[in-house]
Formats: sequence, structure tokens, C-alpha cells
Amino acid sequence: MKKLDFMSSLNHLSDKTVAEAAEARETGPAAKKSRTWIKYAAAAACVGIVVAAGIGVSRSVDIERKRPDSPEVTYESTGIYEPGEPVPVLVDGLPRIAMPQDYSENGGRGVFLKNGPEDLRGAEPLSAEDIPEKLPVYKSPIYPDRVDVDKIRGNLDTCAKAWGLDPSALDVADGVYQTQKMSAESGGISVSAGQFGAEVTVAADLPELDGEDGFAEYILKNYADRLMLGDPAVSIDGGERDADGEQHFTVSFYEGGGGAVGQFINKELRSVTVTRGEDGSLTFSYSLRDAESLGDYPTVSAEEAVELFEQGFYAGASDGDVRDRENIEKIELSYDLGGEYWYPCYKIWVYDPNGAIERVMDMKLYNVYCVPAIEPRYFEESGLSTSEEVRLMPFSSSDIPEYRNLGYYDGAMSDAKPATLYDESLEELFSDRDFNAQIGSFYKVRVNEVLDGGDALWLNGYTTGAQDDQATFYRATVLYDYFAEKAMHKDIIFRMAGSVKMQESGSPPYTSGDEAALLLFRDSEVSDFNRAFKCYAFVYDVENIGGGEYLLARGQRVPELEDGLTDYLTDETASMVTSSTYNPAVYHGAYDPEELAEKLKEIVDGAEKTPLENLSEGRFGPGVLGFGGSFKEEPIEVAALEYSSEPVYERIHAVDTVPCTGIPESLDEVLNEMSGRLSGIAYEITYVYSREEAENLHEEFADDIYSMRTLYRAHAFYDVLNDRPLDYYFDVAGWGTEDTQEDGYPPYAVGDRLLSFFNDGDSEIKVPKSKLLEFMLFCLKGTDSDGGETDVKIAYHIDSLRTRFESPAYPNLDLEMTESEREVITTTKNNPIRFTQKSTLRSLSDFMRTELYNRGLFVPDSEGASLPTFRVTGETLSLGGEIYSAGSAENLDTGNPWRQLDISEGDTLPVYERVMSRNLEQNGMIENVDREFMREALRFYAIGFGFDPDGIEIEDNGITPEELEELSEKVGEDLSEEYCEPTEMSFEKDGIKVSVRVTDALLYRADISIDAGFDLPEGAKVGFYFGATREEAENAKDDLLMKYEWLIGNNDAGVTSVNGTQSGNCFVTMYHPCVGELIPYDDGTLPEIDRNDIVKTVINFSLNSIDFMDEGTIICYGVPGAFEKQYRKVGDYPAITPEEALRLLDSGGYVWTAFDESGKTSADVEYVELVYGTDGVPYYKLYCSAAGWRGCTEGDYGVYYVPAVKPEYYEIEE
Amino acid sequence: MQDEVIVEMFWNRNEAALKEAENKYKSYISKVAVNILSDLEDAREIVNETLFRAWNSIPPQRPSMLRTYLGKIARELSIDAYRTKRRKKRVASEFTVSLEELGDIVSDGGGDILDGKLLGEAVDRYLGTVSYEARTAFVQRYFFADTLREIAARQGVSESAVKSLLYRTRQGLKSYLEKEGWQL
Repeated sequence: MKKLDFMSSLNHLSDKTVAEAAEARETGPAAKKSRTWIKYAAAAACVGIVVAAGIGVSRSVDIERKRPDSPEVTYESTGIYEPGEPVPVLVDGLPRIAMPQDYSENGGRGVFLKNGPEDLRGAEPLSAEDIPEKLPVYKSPIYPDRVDVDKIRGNLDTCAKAWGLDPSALDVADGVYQTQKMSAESGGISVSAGQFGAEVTVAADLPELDGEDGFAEYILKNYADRLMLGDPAVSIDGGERDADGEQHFTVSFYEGGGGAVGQFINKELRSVTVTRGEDGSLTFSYSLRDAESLGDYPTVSAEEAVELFEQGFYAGASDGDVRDRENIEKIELSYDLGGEYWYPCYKIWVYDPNGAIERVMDMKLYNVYCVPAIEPRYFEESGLSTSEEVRLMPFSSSDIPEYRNLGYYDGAMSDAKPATLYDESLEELFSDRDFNAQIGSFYKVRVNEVLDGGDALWLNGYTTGAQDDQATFYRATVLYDYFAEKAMHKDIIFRMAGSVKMQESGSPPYTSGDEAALLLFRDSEVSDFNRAFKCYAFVYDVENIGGGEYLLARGQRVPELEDGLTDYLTDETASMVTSSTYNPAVYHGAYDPEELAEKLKEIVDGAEKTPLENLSEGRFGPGVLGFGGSFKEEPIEVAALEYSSEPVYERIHAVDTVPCTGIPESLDEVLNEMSGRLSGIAYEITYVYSREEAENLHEEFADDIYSMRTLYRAHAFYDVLNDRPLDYYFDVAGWGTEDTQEDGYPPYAVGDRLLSFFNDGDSEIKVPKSKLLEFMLFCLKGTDSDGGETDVKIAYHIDSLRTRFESPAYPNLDLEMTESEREVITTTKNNPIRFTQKSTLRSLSDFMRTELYNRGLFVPDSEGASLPTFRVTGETLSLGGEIYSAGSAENLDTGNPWRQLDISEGDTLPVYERVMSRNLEQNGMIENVDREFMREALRFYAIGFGFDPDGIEIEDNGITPEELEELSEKVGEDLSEEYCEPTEMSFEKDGIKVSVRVTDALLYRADISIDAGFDLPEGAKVGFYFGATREEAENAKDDLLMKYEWLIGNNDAGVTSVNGTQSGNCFVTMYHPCVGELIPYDDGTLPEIDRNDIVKTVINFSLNSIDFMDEGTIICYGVPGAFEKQYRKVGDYPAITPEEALRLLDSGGYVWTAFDESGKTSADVEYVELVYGTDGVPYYKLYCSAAGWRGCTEGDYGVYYVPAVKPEYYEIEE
Repeated sequence: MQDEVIVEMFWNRNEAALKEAENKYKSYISKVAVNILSDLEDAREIVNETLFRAWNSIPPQRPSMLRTYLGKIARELSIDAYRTKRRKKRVASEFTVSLEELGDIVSDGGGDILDGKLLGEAVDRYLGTVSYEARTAFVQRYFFADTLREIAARQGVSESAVKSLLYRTRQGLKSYLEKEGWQL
């Protein structure tokens, strides 16, 4: 079975399983939505209608409410734009409702008629002229996306009974996908039911009938009892024509009892439509809509509806844009059932005088619009301008709705930038505008969703630029055109300067639910396909205060605009916080929208340019990108991507306010600011000082630093420029505090690892000369397990995408980076770091070293002199005593990939030292043992063998305090309590014993014993102690790999090879090759191999192997994750070539070996390989024939070990 | 717009259904495709192809969960694209990693799956017997190809905990499938 086939089979998981996981994906912390649930009683009403089948009424309804006072804009992209989320606002005791934005059951369609509305048949029981003062509004029971299975089944049973079937005897099918629909068939009667009704199809032998009337009469005569109506009334509707000119009618029946209002509602919501099939069958379609009434809503007259229609207040889009009163030819009442709310509406038939259709098709085109028949104030967004009845009154800042005031600008932050980035005055604003091109209009928009700049990458056709770093994209709805005085309902995406991460002073970015008035331009020079419009100044916040709508001016004052305008704001300034507690919008004026629009238009028209027509709302397509729209024929469809953020931890109160300044254009520019010698230090934050602590510690820096920086205690662990480990603590002040955050630079926390370049190595406080050279060291893949710090994959962020490090000499300097890796939330969820590049630390440090050296900014401590010398000894290595009975030199090659390194002059090899040590003053007690790691290792093996890790009993060799006391007496001195701690732990279960211990070589090792053996196929065997032939071991190795590859850990792949003699005592070794199978690209070239991966593979081969010794015995030298626990890197040492190693052998430069007395020279060496010793040092292992030496025979080999680094770096201990 | 309406539009052969479905689910489909293919361009193609296939399959299909329905189509198309792509070169995606993890269930050798639907249903049955956390983690990892880090963040546990959870689930699944007679 192929893994891919298995993956494909998962497509047949049930919808329920997939949907459950999908739901969990969206409700986890990464995409958590703030939701508050409230309940309120709906006014129960059915306007007193007495009907046989009334509308169901339930007592309460759950409605989600947006939190209007959310203090922060979060980067929680919902991924899916869900317009019209209900807001539980009561208007005169009735819930405010929403109008579907782009869809209406009745509106938004074109209709062909031959002559005109007189072609249409059918009349509503309630005419438009007779509309009552109030009509009920209902809430759809399945909105959004709910399915009521019981209701569907109820509908099926109801209809089945009506047709004489026994519901309990039906074999009901659920349909292909869950239970959206149910169907059954019995006795020639097919019944299928859905959420809102059911269909019954029966065979019929219809006589010749006189049109639709005759058909209706026939149905009433023969099927009246099947209609489930007490007093069925007939309705013959339709008359529209299709493209072939054929006319279509429908025949339906509804409850005829009660008054006109009752009949109207029954017809709309619970009618029965009967149609004839081509095969002579009859289909009865029952509309069985049950919904809760939200109450009786005041209605508008047909005349008022026409006025609203002219203002653009209607549901549904239409191809045509003819909304002139004189073209309205028919108005009728209906219910719009297309959205979350079912409300009465006027269907308005408007003749489209476009002659083309009439000429070509000999038919007339009518556009049908749906205007709500209830008062607009009950709609969430009517889009209508301020009512004339409302007289605007002066007000003070305290009149601004309290809940929006989330805090005030306290002066603590700098006010570095004007509110408008570019234009200081009207003159300046208009100076470069080309009015021969286009000027837009003055629009009221409502922000629906805040999009991160990164999401813009996902907007089709849009390529973000550096400027987008400092901007925010919004998904918004244009509600009103103040110039044209027209309501609109169009979705747009627009971009404005200032972001949550980088804020303009006094101009915080908007948040969901905010409304603003924007003056939009189209600039022919700078506008393009993606950026159809530009918007500079004139951004106003829209507020309703005391029943009137005001436009609140924020940011830069424009005196010539204010001149003559009535300012309704009596206070000099007023602050209203939108998205940030510390960065409120500061208002300096409040204006009547109409008056302001008139003034603006006056200025625009009088700019001695040629004003163009206002852009019609038809320019706006749904989801069009740009300031207001695209001028392409095809609108660009956009959608936000659901990106994954990776919350590490949060400080909820941290907010960002400080603008980011000083964007470097290049590395040159950055480095030109630097002076003196530089060092590059990788360090880990170990403590975060409070400001008070920082000031007390370093008073001299207090004023300059701590208002804008945070002081950290840090542990320096690596000098990347000199390639040497470090181990000291220092204080470092980094940009950004909890209250004042730099763009993309949230304050760090304990455990964060950073790389900074410092220009002064002497000061007690090391302050990065420029934050621009501050890198965050972030391990993205955890691939530092084998290679130490030099192989850590890091990502870095440096303020601007414009500064990007690329060099063909360093292929790992600019590694591919996925979108999900780019954004990482560190200390606050609203100020994530956005990484710009990923590289290995090795490549980055090599690149920086070269760059800085060439600029004279870095001088190595001395070439290589910084590397400490170390000692090697064969005794402690347990090396050199072994004899290999390989049979021939060929068998000595067991797959060690070291030759791929092709070591030559100038290459380096990492040298490690062991973390654990023996305290000789404490009777050789082993220190730095990570016992938690040992326990975790046991749990790992337990899981691997299928045991519950919580169910194993771990035993250890720790001793009790009493035993320690006894031991102390024996040795005659007080032993440390640490002696009580174990150095070996084990568990035994179901015939499997696993022990993890610290070996004499100060390494972790796991020994596994399986009573049942390895269950190998016939002819396969391993046996170090009890004998196995090479052939037997070869037969076993694949099977062992398959069964025990998991021992390597981390889901890494393994390889196996056979070690041992030709004739017997062969065992199988397994290890993880970091260099996998290389699959050629299309052009035949192979992917580049990272040299470090080869080194890691040699290390794995040497130190992290897993040996299958005898049947059921496994020795894991490589306990997963142990390498970094037991070794730390000393440095990258200049390596010697194999030839140099041979020369050293001849000069006696080898480590102690039992083979020593044989007097071998380089001429006797038959095989060479590079291995790592248990001391963490690379060695050349030189094999010489041992035939004749101390009883050895032909085919036996002894070894010499020669350190693989230059001799000046080590001492050989005799 | 609610799914039912969009599906209704598909049924009525109203081309606006494509636009509505795209508006609503483009990001969702993209995410599914990107996780598998790690390629934006390919993901865009998958979005279009998914909608096209939905157009051709509704009717006769009438999905009650449009999102899941589109997600399954997108995943199927993405895996097909992955197969084609992998023949040419290595595909560095989360899907590749998750695929490797399945090595302890399936051997990548032996014969072909005769009936992927039956196998999928068997897996579904098994998932019905494990905990909510295990089930959602498994589906998120191997259906949506989400990263361990993402899953861990959602569940509020460490990556290694998720890894262990997935491992146990895989082992259980393997045992279950073997009992059902599947040749893995």
C-alpha cells in the first residue's frame, strides 16, 4: 500500500469528522473569535392572523454580538468574510436586522417581458397600496449554515401522511452528503424533503386541460385533500419569458382563510406549487417554512419605497442601473426570503430602456429590485444619510459615545509624525493631482475586517511593496456617496497608511465596525491595475451623536477647508480611541456630512482643473481591490488567507504606539552608521528588568534609554564572528517596551534567543549600535540537534524588506521560507514579528564576517587563536583497543558518508565537549545529569512499544538519604545529596525491558531487551555475542529498519548496515542519515547538499547509532534528543586532510592504541574513515592489517585514531 | 451568503454561484492546497479547478456542508498535483512530512488499494473510537496537512505532546486496520 494512496483514502472520511476538525482549526487560539452570546425575548406575534398552518413562534433566539468596545485590533484573520453578522441592537424595542448585501430572492434579476407588466399574471392577496402599518419579520431558523434534521424528517413525514403513506414504514435515504435532504419512495409516490419544504411526485394521467386555469381547477378537484390546506386559494403567477420567448407560469395554492394580510403571509411562506412533468407526472412542492417572528415592524408606503429605491436602498445587485422613477412600471408586495431575515419587501419592476435587447430579441428588459417594506431604521446599515429632521447641535467631547473612549493620549509617546504623511495643506495636496484624470468621491465606509499587510500577498494580482509594511488593508463596505447623495452597498478593500504595528501619531488604524468618510482620488499616474485610487487626507470618523450623524476630523488640520464650516465640536480637542489605548484619534472638529461634502466638492471643482464625473457606484464590484475599485472590466476577486500564527506567549496589556523610524535602504547604509569594531553575539534572555530596576541599575542611561527600551539580563553563548562558544552574562537594552513597541519589535521575554551585532565590547551595558542589525534567533525547525549552534536555522527581521541579504557565495543565506513561518507572535498578539529571511546561522555569520571584515568593522581576535585547545586520550575514549575481523578491507566500509566532505585545506570540523562531568572532589560523582530528559526518553520508548507512557513503572538506581549516610560513612566523608539522584532508570513491561543510563563515557544510552526476540524472517539473525553470519545479518537489516526505525526519533528516516566479521558475530547498525535520497531536478541537476548535513550524518553514524546486538538486544547510543543534552560545541576547528593524518601516524601523532606495539606505518593502512569519538572530537580512523599480531589472522584489522583537526589545538594525554 | 443559497444557485445553474463560492471559500481552499503543495501558483489553480469541479458535480450532488465538500475536492486535486510534481522533484511541504509519518502505518510497498473509499470509511470508524483531541489532531495533520506547531497551539499543548498523540493514534489505527484485514 502506498502512503499517497492511504492519504487519498482519507478523502472518504465522513463530512462530520472533517467538519469537526475544520471547526477546531478555526476555534483554536490561532483564529479565536471573540464572541458574546446574549439572549433576548423576541416579541411573539403573528399579527393576529388566524391561519390553518401558521408560522411557528419560538420564545427566544441566540444572536452573536460583536464587541463594540474591543480595545485592540487583533491579527486574527477569520479567513472568510462574513458580512451582515447580526448585531443585537433594539430599535424601538424591535431587533435591528440586516439586509443581504449581494443577494435577494426577489431583487437583482433581469426579466424579459413581451409587452410589459401586463404580461404578468397573478396578484398578491395584499396589494402594495393596502400595506398595513406593521408586518412581521422572521428570522431564518437555519442561518448561518445550520441544518435541522428533525425538521427535515418532520416535513417528510407530514407530506407522506398527506399522501396516505406510513412514515414509519418508509425507507428513508439521507442523500449523498449528510441530511440536507431526505427522500423515500413507496407505492409509486416519491417524497423528498428539505429544510423548508417537501416535494411529492406521483404519476398522473392528465386529461386535456384549458391552460393554467384548467390545470388549477383540475388539481383542486382531484387533489384538494393532498394540499394540506383548509381553504385552498389559487394563485397563477408568472408570465416572464425565457430567451426563446416562451412564457412561463406557476400554479400554486395557499390558505385562503383569514384576511388579506394572513393570506399574503401564507402565500409567501407556506404555499403549495404544482407542476407537470414531461412524463405526465405531477409534483407537489410544499413550502413549509417555520420561523420565529421577531415582531411586527412599522412599514413604509409604496411611495416611500420608491424614494428609498432612488436613494439606493434595496437588496440585491442588478446588472442595470436604471433607477429613475418614471421607469417604474410595477410594484408589488412580497417577502424576501433569501437571507437571515425574512422581511416584507416591495418588488419594483423597472423598465430598462436599453434598446439593444428590444432590437435583438423583440422583448423588453425589466430589472426587478427589492426594497424592504419596513422602515430603514430597523436595518443594521441603511446606508442613508442624516435625516433632514435631525438638527445638528453643538456637543462636547464628552458626548462622544463613552464606550469608544478607551483611553487618552498621555503624552508619553513621541509625536514624531504628522497625521498626514505627505500633504500639509490643500494646495500641497492638490498640487500633484491630475484632475484631467479622475477624482473620486467622498464615501462613507464601514470597516468589516482588518487585514494584515501580509494577507495582501494573497489578494489576487496584488503585489505588496515596502510601503505596505506601514499600512493596513481593510475590507470594508461603501455605504454612502456624499457627493452624489446616494446610498451604496458595495464591498471594497482599501489600504491606508498606519498599521497596528506602525502607527501614525494620532491616527490609529481602524478596527472592525469603525465607520469613516474618505475622499478618494484616482490618480492617472500612480494608479494602476492594483491601485486604482489614492487617498491622502480628509479622513473623518463617522459618529452618530444625539440622533445626528457627524464627521469627526482627525489628524492634520486643513484651515482652508474649515473656513466657513460649522464646527459642532465645542471642545478644542476630543480624543476617541479606536484601535489602541495609547494612540487615540484626536478630533479637532465635527461637521455636518452634507455641509462638509458640499465644501469639499466646491474645493475639488474649483481647483482650476477639469473635474470629472463622480464615479458611479457601478465601478465597485464586490471585493474589488484598491481604493474604491478597479477599472478593469473584470473585477479582481479577493479573499483573505487564513494564515497561521504561532502564539508563544502573550502580554495582554502590551500595546504599540511608537512609529518606526529610520528605514535602511541597504546593508551599506546600515553599516555606514557603525563605527569601531563589531562583535556578533548570540545570547539568550534570562531576565527582563522592570523600568524601575533598570534605572536603578544604570542611572546614567535612564533618560536616554529606558523610556524607549527594555533592559534585559542575557547569557551570551556564542560569538558568531569568531566562531567560539561564550559563557557570560551581560545587560542589554533592546528597542521597544511593553508600552511603546517598535514595528515588529515587541519586547522579548525570558528564553528568547537573539543575535545582535555590538560595536563596543568593553561597556558594561552593551547597546546595539543600531537596531537594524538586530536579529532574532529563532529555531524554526529544531534542526540544531546534531550540529550545535552553527546549524540552527534562524529567521531574521530587519525593519524593511528592502534590506535583503543575498550572496551566491552563501547558498544558505536566503532559504525558502513559507508564509506560516514568517509571522510569529511573541509577546503580544497584536504586534507579531514578521520575519524577512531565513538562513543558517553558519551562512549568516560567514556572510556578516566577510562583509564587516571588508569594511574594516571587524577584526578577528586572531585567526584561530580564539579556539581553545583540548586534550584527547585514548583511555577515556575506549578507543584503539579494538580488532575488526572483517575478512577483507572491503567489509570495513559500512556506509559512513564522510568522503562526501572531501576535506581539504581550509575546511573546518566542529569539536564538541561533553556536558556531563565527573567531580573528582566528590568521588567522581557525575554532574549535570538531566534526569527529566532520561524520564522523557523512557516515555518515548514506552510509546514506541505501544505502552501507555503514564502506565509504566520507572525504577532507578537512586539511593535514599539513609543509604547516602551509610555510604558517606564508608568513604569517610560527607557526600553530596546529589548522590541520591539516579544515573540509571528503567521500566519493564510485557517482556520488554528498557533502561536509560549515563555511561562511563558520560553519555546517555538506552539498552533494550525484548524477551520475544526480533521476530525476524527465516534466514535472518543478528548476534554480536552469540554469533550470526554476515548473510544472516544482511537478511535481518531491512526488517529491523522497518520495525524499529522509530527508535531514531523525530520521525527521522534511518538506514541500516551490517558490522562484524565475515563468518560470524555480525550485528546491524541503524542511524539517521541527514542527507537523504537526492532526487534530480527536471534539468538533471541534483539538489545542493549542505555540508553540515554530511557532518551531522558522520556524527550520527559515530555517536547516535542503534545497534541490534543479539536477538532481542538493542543498544541505543543515540537516544533521541540526547546529543544536545550531552555535548556542547567548542568551536569549528581547522581540519586536516586524510593525507596529513597518515603523516601524523608516521610521526607518532596518534592517540593511544593497544595496536601500538605492532609498529605500523602509513604504508600499512588499508582503509580510512572519519568518525567522531565519544569525546566529541573528530578522528581519522586508520585501519591496518593485524595478521600475525597477538594471535590475529588474515582479515583482522587494528586501528589508529588521529584527531582530524590541526595538532596545535589539542594535546594527546599519555 | 449562506451555503444553502449557494448550493441552490449551483443547482439552478446560476453562474453567480461560482463567484459566491469563491468569495466565501477561496482562502479556505487555498490553505488546503498550500499545505499540500507549498506553492502559491499551484494553489490558485487548485482553487479554480475546485470550483470548476463543484460546478460539474452540483447537481447531481447536493452537499449539505459546502465547505467540507469543496475542501475534499481541493484536497483530492492537490494530492493528484502532488503526485505529478513529486515525480519531477522533491516537494518541500508539510504534506511531505506528514506523509513520511505514515510510514509506521503503511509500508509504501505491496499492492494498490483496491477501494480507497472502504479504507477511508474504516479509518473514519476507527477515529470514531478515539478521543476528540486525537481525532481532530489526526484529521488536521493528515487531512489538512497542518503543522505540528499549529495543532499544538490550537490544543494548547506542546509539539511533542501532539507528536505522541499522533503516534499513539497511528499505532492504534494500524492495529485496527490489521484486525479488519487490511494489508498494510
